[in-house]
Amino acid sequence: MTAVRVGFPRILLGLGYAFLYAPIALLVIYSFNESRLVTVWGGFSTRWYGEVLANERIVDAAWLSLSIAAMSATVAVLLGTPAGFALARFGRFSGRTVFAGLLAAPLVMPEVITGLSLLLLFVGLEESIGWPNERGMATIVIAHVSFTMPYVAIVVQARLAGFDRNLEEAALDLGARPLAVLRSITLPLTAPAIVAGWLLSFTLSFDDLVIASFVTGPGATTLPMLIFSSVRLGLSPQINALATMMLVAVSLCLVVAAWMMGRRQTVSS
Amino acid sequence: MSRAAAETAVSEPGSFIRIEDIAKSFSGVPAVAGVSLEIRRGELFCLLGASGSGKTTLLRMLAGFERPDRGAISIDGADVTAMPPYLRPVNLMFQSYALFPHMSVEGNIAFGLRQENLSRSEIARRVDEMLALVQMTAFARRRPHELSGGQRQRTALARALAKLPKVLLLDEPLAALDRKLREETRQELVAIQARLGITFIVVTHDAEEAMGMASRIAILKGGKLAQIGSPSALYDRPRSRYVADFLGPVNLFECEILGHEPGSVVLRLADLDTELRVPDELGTARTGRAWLAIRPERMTQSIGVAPVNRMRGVLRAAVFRGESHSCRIELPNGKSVLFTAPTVVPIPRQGESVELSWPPSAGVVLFE
Repeated sequence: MTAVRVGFPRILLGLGYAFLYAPIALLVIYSFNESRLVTVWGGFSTRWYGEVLANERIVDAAWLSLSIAAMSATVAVLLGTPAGFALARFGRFSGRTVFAGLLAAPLVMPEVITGLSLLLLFVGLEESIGWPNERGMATIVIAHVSFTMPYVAIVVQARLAGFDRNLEEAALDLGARPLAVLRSITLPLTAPAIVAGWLLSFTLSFDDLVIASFVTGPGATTLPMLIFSSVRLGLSPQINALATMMLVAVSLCLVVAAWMMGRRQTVSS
Repeated sequence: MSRAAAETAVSEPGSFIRIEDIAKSFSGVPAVAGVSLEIRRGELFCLLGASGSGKTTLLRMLAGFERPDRGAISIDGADVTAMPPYLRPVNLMFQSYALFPHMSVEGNIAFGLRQENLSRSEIARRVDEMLALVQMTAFARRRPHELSGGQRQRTALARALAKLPKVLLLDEPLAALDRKLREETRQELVAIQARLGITFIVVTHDAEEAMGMASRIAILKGGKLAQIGSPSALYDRPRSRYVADFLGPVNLFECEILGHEPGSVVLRLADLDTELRVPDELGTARTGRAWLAIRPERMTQSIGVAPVNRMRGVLRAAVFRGESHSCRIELPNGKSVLFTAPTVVPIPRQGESVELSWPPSAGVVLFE
């Protein structure tokens, strides 16, 4: 009787995890499949990894995706950090509710709508001011900044909400001018949140297929776009290997981001 | 006579910090409503008050974190009213200590020194000096979260003292410590203050703590100065019922002033149908309603022939406090009177009649 009581929730939990992670596990396992046929196990091999790295199209797309992710994450941090400061520090300034709402909107906006509206914007801009004359990397970066910046703002705001203002006052009291306080107290103590925000933005940008598809041009194919288009032609073990590598990279980013955000407990206590 | 001499010394010129009629409101609610104070060089001065009395706001204005709505503050002859905190010759030890969590004990102490153009060796020398002063040398490399409460307190003190400010402000320096450590730390603070000769301004809500370390105390009430003076002057000669009660247990008797005789006031207590005489220190010719304040420990059980100042009641409660008993008697009209009897004196049993008397100088007449 007790065995059933203990066992049943465990089984449910196992089923839940299986539902979530079995497909991913399967993908990882098949990436080590020797056989060219995706669904038939032909022995362990890492040859597809080698082929992925030798495939120029894949390497180019990966490089483009990484560059876009790094640039958009950096711009998102530069814009999102001040936004987080404004939300956490400037009290109830007029227009705060609107500001907070507009900032959070991209988080809940369907990607199709974000992508479409950005495409319309770029087309309109091209017609009226002649820029961007070609859609590609630059437009994808701009699009990615627009939906990753709120994540940075929210992470930074959360960090500042738990920030002891006395620390800044103590620094001022000890003779540090406001800029020195920002440099030596506020930024070092907010850094984990800023880094976490950068990593989150990087991951979101690196993952994005929908928005990038809308705003890209003929010359720029990101990694998710490449994977999606090649899968439409049929499953390939090469793509499994590529997807596994992406999976590892993204998980690593998220683990580091979570660890950075978790550091606030030890820092502020 | 000696008291008079002491008061003269206190009001002598050479006031180091001059606070002139400063006021500060927060969204229309006054926190400090016109306070003037003069604090001497090298003094250990206490700002004492209940929460909401404006003591912390006053401290923050001295540190430069709040700008007074009106009035002026000068330190050592220089007007600092509009000076930002980072330029003031003042350092503050925060109640929460506000130690920088990403710096070691050393780094915290060095922070203020690094803002000046001092050489590395000079900074290191001063940091070592401060570490030795607060006995934290062994913990120099620790981070704040690795320290005990007392160690954090000492680090915060060292950090605030490192720049050798003209004035050190301490916001409830002992509040976060447990009871035993508090007494130890209080003595340490007094010793360090005496050694460095820096003017200390301590904010506290604890009257006992204030009396135990201050050379002078300013009692704040509702954003205004209630009274200022040495601990013993405030304790023995309060000028209002609020001050009398804030500094310790006191018996307050409503009374009517009947008249004045040379050197003494004649009054009648509402609770007691007798005339009393107390020394007329205020020298005022006021008459009418007033209060007579007598500290419980100034009341003694009279044996044999009682002097003039006496009252008789029934012992209702006695609490043993080690060196004394805290007793409560009830007067015939039901009013309770407290008195403290040294343990060496036997006290009557509960329900027995007690006669209390007090020296004329123990009674203080209060008008407010």
